[in-house]
Amino acid sequence: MTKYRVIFDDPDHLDEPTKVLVPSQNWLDMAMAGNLPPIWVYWQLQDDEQKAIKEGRHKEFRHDTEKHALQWTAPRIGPLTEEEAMEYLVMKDLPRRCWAEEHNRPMFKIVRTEQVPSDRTFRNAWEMAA
Amino acid sequence: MSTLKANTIQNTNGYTRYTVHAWWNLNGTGTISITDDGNCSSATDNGVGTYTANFGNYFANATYAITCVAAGGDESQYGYTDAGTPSPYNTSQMQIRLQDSNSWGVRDTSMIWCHWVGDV
Repeated sequence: MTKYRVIFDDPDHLDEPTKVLVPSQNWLDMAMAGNLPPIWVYWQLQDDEQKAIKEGRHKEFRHDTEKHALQWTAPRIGPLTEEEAMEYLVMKDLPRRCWAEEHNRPMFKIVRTEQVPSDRTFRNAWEMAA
Repeated sequence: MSTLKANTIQNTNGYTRYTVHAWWNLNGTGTISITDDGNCSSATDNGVGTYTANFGNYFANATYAITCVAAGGDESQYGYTDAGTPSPYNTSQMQIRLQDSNSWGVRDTSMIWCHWVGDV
């Protein structure tokens, strides 16, 4: 099982509790076996969808067939280490504003699982430590 | 072992057969974990009883359907999906929220089973 988690804050919703992302072991195995497309394949799809949302046509939106198919047909990027796979996952699954924009503090951290509290008594009060 | 590759699967009468595009078995307690999944790259713990499924490969559109149930040794629980604004609901991810059927409060639970069916 993976030893990593990603903790992050959404800069657009700093009042919300810190979020914790857990990778799928199946997906990590696939990444480490070299079966992922280049990350831009996903960014391209995200950009197209965000544009549709901004223009108020998300309900009718459908991905461009060729761009969508690249998820399966684009040349694979080759095997990644577990650490590289975690970085890829950050760029794929975290809001881009968390990692691509500058803020006055880091908005995410890749941490070991044991660094994340398992006691959820005050889960909605969790904040990322400096 | 052989691999079957096809864009559309139809029966002999030409009716399209849909398959599950993504599924997970999630433990939403403690430091949450994915017990098993298909085509979910990750899960996000957003706070009490609120989780986001991040799909490995994306849907073709966001008009997919979800079935989600939850349990945790307490029969008063069930799961439902919250797709309201600003909850993410798009081709790459979906947020779900679990609510107690007695108190209607949001709560964590240890077994959450979901699957998503839609256009790929």
